Amino acid sequence: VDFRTRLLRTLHAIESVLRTPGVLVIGSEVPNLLEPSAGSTLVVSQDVDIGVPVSSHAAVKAAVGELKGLRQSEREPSVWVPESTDLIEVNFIGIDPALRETMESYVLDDPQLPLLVFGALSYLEGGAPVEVDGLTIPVPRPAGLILEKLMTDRSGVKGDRDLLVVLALLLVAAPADLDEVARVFSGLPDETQQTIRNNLTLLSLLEPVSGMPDPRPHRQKIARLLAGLESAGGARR
Amino acid sequence: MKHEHLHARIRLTRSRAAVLKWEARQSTLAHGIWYRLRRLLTFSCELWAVDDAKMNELIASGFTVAPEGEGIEPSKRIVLLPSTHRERLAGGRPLPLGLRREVLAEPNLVLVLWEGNDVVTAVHDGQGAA
Repeated sequence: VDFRTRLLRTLHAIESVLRTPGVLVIGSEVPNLLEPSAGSTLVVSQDVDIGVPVSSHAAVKAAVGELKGLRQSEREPSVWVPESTDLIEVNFIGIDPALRETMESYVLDDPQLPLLVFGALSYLEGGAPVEVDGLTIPVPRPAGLILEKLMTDRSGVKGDRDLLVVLALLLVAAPADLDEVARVFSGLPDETQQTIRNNLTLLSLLEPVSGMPDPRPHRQKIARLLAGLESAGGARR
Repeated sequence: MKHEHLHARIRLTRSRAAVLKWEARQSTLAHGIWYRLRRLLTFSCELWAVDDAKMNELIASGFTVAPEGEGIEPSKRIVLLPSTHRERLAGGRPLPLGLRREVLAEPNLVLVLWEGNDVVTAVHDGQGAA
C-alpha cells in the first residue's frame, strides 16, 4: 500500500474528527494534500497532525472514542497509533487562539485526550478544504502554516525537512497568500519576526534533500519574500 | 501531576523557545553575524572570489562594501554587485553559495545581487543596521 493510500485511509478513519468544527489537518502532510489529487510525493514522517481548537476539545474527545483501526498510544496519549499497516499515526495537537505569545505552550490535561497546546498554532485559520477520495479535508490557509513553520526551531535534519515543507507551501501559495504572510508578520513580536527571517535565510542556502523540492531554483522567490517581510516589519533587520 | 512526560515536553519546548529568543536578540550584535552573512547570501544569486587588485578596482568604482565583512575574524572585504555589472568579475573565481570553509577563507568576496528593486532596496536598507 503506497503512502498516499495510507494517508487517505487514515483520514477516512478519523472522518468524524475532521467534521468537528475548527479541526484542521496541519503540519507536514498539508503540502502533500495540496498537491493535485493529494499526490503526496513529499517524503515526510509517517504521521498526520490534527489541530484541535481547545473549544472543540470535548467534541473531538467524543469522536476519538469511536475511532476504528486506531488506538491510543500508552506512551503518548495524544497520539493514536494504527492497528494495521494500512494506516499511519494520528497526532492530536491543541490550538488556543487566546495564546498570542507565539513561543508559549501548555498542557491541556485530560484523562482521555491530553493535548500539547502551542502558541505558534494560534495563527492558523481554516482555508479552502481539500476535496479528495470522497473526503472533505479541512486544512489551514497557507499563510498561517508558512509562518507557523518558520517561527519555531528548525535545527537538525528534521528542521531542514520542515523548512523544505515551507518551500513546498510557497510553491503552491498565491500572491494573495504571500501578502497575507507579510500582513500577519508585521504584527508579530520582534523576536518572532527575527526567527522567521533567520529560518528563511537557512532555507535559501539548504542543499537538496531526497524526496523534497529542490530550493536552488527557487532562491530568488525566497529572497523576494525575505525582502517583502523586511519591508513589512519596518526598519529593524 | 498528570501526564508528566507531556509537561516535560512543554518544559523542553519552552527552553528551546528561550534560546530562540536569545538568538533573535543577537541579530544586530556580534553573535548575529552569521545570520547577517546568510541574509546577504540569500539576496545574492552568485558568489565570487577576486584578488586584491580587482577588489580595489570595484571599491574605487563605488560599489557598496558590506560592513558584515568586518564582523568576522579575520575580517574580509565583501562587495555587493548589481547583476547588471557582473561582467566586471572577469578573472574571478565563482564559489558555492554558503558559509563553507573555502568561502570563509577568501579575503575578497563579491556577491552578485538578484535582479529586482525589492531585493536591491532591502539589501541596501539593511546595511545601516548591520
